[in-house]
Amino acid sequence: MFGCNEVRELAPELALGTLTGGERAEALMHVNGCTRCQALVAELTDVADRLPLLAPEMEPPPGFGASTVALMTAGRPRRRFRVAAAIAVAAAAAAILSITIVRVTDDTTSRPAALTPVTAPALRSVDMIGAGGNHAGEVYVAGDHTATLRIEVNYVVPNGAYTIKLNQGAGPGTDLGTVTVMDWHGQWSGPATLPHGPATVSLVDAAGNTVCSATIGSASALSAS
Amino acid sequence: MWAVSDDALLAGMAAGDSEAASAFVARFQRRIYGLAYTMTGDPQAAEDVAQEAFVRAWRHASAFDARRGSVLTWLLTITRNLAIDSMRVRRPIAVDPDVVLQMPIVSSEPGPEQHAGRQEDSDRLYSALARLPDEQRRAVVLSGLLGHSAREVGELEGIPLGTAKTRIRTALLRLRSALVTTEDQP
Repeated sequence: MFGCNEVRELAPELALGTLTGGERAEALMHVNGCTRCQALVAELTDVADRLPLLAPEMEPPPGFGASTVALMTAGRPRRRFRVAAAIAVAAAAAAILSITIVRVTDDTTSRPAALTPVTAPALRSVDMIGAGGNHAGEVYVAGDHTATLRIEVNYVVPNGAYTIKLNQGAGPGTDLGTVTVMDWHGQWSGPATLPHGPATVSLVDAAGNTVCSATIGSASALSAS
Repeated sequence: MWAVSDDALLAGMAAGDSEAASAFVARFQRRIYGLAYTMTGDPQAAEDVAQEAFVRAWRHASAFDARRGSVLTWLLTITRNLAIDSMRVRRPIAVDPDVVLQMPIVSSEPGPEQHAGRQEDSDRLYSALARLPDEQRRAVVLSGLLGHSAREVGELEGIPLGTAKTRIRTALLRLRSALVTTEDQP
């Protein structure tokens, strides 16, 4: 568990967004509960956020303005970036599950052992919706009843720590873990036992308010985005 | 439209105003494309990143919080993060940080004081960077502007990971001190 000394060492990398993996998670856990380290990271983030101001201006290609406004107001992502987004989804899938589970069958006769591939559980994604109907992030679900979830939130959810709740109906639900949002980004992945039928994954702040949620269901009810 | 503030344009976008979107893109496209191209080194990737940054600004316009910074820094942060994601998918092109800093940062937009204010912010940051030792300046530009991790900075500069982290950390702390000092001056 990181303390103030460790986090002060890591605060610049946290502010620059270049800290990853376990170090980032540990640092964020400490920052979430320490006002002094929060203030330090916030000050350094303010400096880090200004560095892109130094990039030179460049004229984009002809027609950039008109095509960009058309994309904005049409509400559909570009085909090329959808390809990159699809690659990112695939990478997320690879990160949270094994693509192929292989069973080796050993035949005692002279025939060679056979590899019997077992197809991976279905992967699908569902939008998380926040205040005002704004898109807050995505939930990626791999598996059906015994599943792995990956939650990513971007740009809408304020900085802070949020409890991830899984609910079906009006009951209290299950706490799956905590996601910390920093510099407008947050991500979490972990196992979840999904109920049969639709369920809601939501992020709840310290005051008990739901900041965003997604309805997930069985693999047969939803299709991958 | 030049008399309209950045915040007002964003509010217009949040209300679904396509004219506000046109003015917003016209106002910021050179800065956003410039950052995207500086980071990716590829015109097509830069166009993709820049367009996606504007699409996200449109989608999340109502979520902008002025207390956390200016519209421009918000938009540049979105662009920077998208460029970093793009570089993870494509093959990254190494850019010399000294070459980047030698390129002029020219605001070609006429208009109200906010545009002059933006130039002041850049000048102040540029001065603070100029006072850093060369190796620290290169490290913080590679990391903070060009989006490289400390490990990548170490590989690019031919230094151990620990040295890269120290240079980045020291540079950012010095920039923070320098910017606080100049902002406090009347």
